[in-house]
Amino acid sequence: MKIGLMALSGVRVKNEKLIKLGVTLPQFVSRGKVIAQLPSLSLLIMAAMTPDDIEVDYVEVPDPGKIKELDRSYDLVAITSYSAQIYEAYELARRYKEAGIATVIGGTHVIAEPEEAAEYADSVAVGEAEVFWPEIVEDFRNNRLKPFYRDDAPGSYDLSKSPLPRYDLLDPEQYNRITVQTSRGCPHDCEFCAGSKLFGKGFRQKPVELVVKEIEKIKEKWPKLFIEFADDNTFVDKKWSKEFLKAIMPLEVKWFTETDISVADDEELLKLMYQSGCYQLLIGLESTSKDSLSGIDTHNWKLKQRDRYLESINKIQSNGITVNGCFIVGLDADSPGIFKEIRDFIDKSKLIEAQVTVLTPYPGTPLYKRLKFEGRLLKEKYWDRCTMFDINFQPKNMTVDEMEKGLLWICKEIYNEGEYLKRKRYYMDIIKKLPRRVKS
Amino acid sequence: MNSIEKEVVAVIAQESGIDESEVSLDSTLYDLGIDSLSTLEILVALENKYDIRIPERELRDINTVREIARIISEKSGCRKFFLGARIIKVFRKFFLKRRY
Repeated sequence: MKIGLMALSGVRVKNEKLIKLGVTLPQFVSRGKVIAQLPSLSLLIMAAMTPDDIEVDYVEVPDPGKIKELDRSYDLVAITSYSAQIYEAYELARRYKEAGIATVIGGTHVIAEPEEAAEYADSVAVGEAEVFWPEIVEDFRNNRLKPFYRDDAPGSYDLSKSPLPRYDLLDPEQYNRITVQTSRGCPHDCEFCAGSKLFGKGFRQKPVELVVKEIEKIKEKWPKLFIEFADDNTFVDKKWSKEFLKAIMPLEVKWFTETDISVADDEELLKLMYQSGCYQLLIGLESTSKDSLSGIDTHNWKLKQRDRYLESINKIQSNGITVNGCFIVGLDADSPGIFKEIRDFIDKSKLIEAQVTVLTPYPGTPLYKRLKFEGRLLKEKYWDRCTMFDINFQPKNMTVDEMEKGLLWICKEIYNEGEYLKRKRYYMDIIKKLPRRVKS
Repeated sequence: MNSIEKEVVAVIAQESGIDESEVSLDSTLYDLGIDSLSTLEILVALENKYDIRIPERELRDINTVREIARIISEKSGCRKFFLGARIIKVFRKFFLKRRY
């Protein structure tokens, strides 16, 4: 028996003007390339949970439209996709189904819209792959594949039982960054977040020794390893974090992760991050406007941090760790003036990288439910606009046109070559003063 | 390869863990699998080695190993020239003071 594990890969943007502009913006292009090259961790975990007597293929599909001939050697095909590529995933599932090959579909979009997905695939997996992949395979073997597999207790899977993903299925020439997961979930309950709550509430973390084991395994294949920790918020538990950073220090890896601004409050943690190979932290600052931050998360945690943003960014970056500050435009209190405000903040804060994206109502999020209730979604099931660069809802204090123009303007302002070089030089001046770190 | 080019290749290899034989003058750091932040660390290592500072606008021209070596060569050449000029100035001042 042979199973094809397929991920819809790459970044999607529909806005023609932004695509045109993106080609000329170095920072925009480089981050896009990095994202496009990251392997799908969930499929590698599923491969690890597949019985040894079954052959598995890991396949990335950047554009299903370009597949002229389907690989008919598979008995079962499992597909995963985000909302932006979901119609392409459905089309791929439909083609395999028509070819008489059984299909299973999963992923964050499908968790939110299982009934929709069931129209295209034989079976829909609603939840974390570890929970029911072995059952799906067993059911398929016995010719009793169910239309739905649902997790009865979302978020209860114990990550200490997580198998070692099948990194051996990846071609080392194709990937220069490898994803490793240390945790799932985030304590901040942001209205727009599609990643941290769909797999269940709560924050779960892997034991340090398990993550170390994974990294050691990957290093056998990629001696010069760059890791992207595929977490929603890595450094929630500061005690675990320090133990973890000390444990990975001898492994000599370079790494990147997502976390929140609270790391700036712990100088010891920052020093450990730098020494253990941290190159960049992606931090959701979300907005510079206090009105826009108000109500973003249930405890207004981000609003309470706003006054310390400049000081915190400076503290992190002075420790040799670059901050990729993420901003969202189109929040309810945002007017057309927000673009200039964010641009000025980026300039003042000397953020080495910044990412400005539009508010995106992903299915399954409280934001999606609210905008739907308020009648502000531009179209039903406008999933292919869930790219974070395309607008699929009516902003409250500006028109769609104003928001599109503002986005283009700010992208030109922050991603142009002059700004890029200025940030590069600034980072070089910081690390010149710091002790050398471990090299992989 | 001239001496600066050889030294640049050695620093790139040492900083990135790549074998020196894999680094040619026409390789770009991207081709060698070196990401943008590691590129900056390599440049800082070279700046420290030659006691120079690459201006912001010249970071734009850095793509290949050859280009890095050229900029290093220009900057360190300028530094040596100005250092030489300063030594001559000091010497002259000292010499003239002694004579009169």
